[in-house]
Amino acid sequence: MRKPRPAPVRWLSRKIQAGDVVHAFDRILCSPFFRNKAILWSVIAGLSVIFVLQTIQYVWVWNTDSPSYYLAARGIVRHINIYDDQQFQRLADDVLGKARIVYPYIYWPFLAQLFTPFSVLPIRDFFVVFHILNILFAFLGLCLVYELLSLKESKTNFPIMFLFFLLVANVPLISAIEYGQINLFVLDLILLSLVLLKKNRVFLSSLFLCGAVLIKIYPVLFLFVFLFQKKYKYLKWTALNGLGIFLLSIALFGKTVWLEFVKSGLKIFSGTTQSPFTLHYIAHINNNTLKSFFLQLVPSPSAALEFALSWLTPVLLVGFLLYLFLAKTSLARDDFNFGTSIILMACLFISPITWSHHFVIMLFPLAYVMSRIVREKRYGYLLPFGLLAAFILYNPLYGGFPFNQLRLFASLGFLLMLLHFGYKLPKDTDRSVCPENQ
Amino acid sequence: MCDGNPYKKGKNLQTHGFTILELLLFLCGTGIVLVLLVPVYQTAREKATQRSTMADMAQWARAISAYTADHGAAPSNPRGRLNFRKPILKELTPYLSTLRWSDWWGDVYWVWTGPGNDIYGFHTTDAKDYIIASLGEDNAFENWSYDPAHPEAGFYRPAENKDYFKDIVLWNGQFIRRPEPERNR
Repeated sequence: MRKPRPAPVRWLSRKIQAGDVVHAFDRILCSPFFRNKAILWSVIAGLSVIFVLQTIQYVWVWNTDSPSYYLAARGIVRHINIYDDQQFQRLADDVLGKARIVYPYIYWPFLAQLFTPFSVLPIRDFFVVFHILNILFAFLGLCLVYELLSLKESKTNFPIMFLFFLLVANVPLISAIEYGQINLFVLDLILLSLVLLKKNRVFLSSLFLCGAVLIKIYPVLFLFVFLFQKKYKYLKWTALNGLGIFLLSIALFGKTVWLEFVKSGLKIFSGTTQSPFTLHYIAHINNNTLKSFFLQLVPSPSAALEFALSWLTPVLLVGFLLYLFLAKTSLARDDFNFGTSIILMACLFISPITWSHHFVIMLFPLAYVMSRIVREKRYGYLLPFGLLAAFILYNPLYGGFPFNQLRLFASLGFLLMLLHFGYKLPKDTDRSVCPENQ
Repeated sequence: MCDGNPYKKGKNLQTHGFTILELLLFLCGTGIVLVLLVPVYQTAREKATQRSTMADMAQWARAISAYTADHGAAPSNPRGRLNFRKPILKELTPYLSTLRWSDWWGDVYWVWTGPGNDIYGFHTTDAKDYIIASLGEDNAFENWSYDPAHPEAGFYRPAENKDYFKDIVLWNGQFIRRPEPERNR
């Protein structure tokens, strides 16, 4: 007797439901590939090698930005006013030759003082040292993100692999290394201070945050939030650490450079001296910040309107973001990484200048959202996340207005997605991706 | 095993969700739309780049004219190519609300002022003369000369990608090499 034939699988007409998609993703994330430690280490090693090979070419090319740090350090040693354009350019002509264009030094004196030990090196050797340091900072940054997001507890290695994938598919990160920028170091200081804060090491945490603020001003936004959260002990230690660093700086290098810094800052903010450098860079086509966006949107002769749009908007935005952050943290004070992501993104939007390499700080928000998507099985967010991340991490920067601002739009879109993601919690957030009994 | 499929319970398989066939059709449709949209996007982006560059050049021209009205001569810039150390930038700063010395392809503008410049078929003689140029997407000088008898010969209608390589040139406040104005199309 013939056996009855099984019914044909009508896979083309079978309905696929949301649950099927979740199930499929679960099966992929729980597959041996994403659970095996040997595979994880192989992927990490492979991506790390690709990253080093991607960036090694920049060891031998002339860096765009690091010569400014190098010269400022030399200037400090030679007691030259590094905030005076003419003196700084004379120094550049003297040290690097007249054919080289070196951009003005616009940072706090502390950064130049940090670089003084390197200023004894020839410039090409300095590039090599700085390049190696930047590579190490990139890896340290990933380790700190891993620690902050508690990825060790993740039951699949996918978020860790994604984190290392961000090393190689990340134009801002590569640009930071290509230009010889300091952003990776600042990001590491911020993340280090947050890791230490998480471990209740207030003194060390405030010391590192203070260091970050003294290199680039934007991490000061964290202090405002701590003020709202009434973390007075933290603020007290930050003030004391800042004072300590300041006094040490004066003892080692004198007070003149600080006075010159204050004078130059006052001139810029009072508007008495508008240098071509500042005017150009604020409205630069690759400047992806709100201020630049509005300046490009309203290129009218109405200076008052331009001023209002370019300054009021960031102020309103930061107020709005702080409000959201405070509202959120008052509801769930343990959601530290959500607040950190919002503050880091707010820094990008309100800064007067946001170049491609400043977007390295998106490393944390992107890794954070991805880790939560996987942990909470909210795979519906993957498509918008992928699209927005692609625009943030890779964006051809030229193109007339508004095409040159695609990265800004993508970042704003990501912020909205992050807020939606953060506030609209799933009903069952503790569902693990892979149960222990697997 | 991983988690089961919690969404299946109690749902009607025939009315919810979508089939693989529907999914494939959707993906094909999306792909076709994207293939059609990419050239449109690229053209729009290049046009916007030209438009923004021309707006910058017009702003430069206004600033040089205002400076010339105040000082009787255009600010000096003998070698043409701009960079942030050129004195002309400092001289024009009071006349500009924003200043870009790079065009929207990311390459610097060229500005020739005063007498004695030989460029694009011009020989400038007056202290008030000035020529501003963007070298287009390829950042290379185009072999083109101005013909005073046929000034409209400098206008072109961008039809293909290489048309965006063409220079944009402004002479004493007038564009003499540029994409054809929209109203003439």
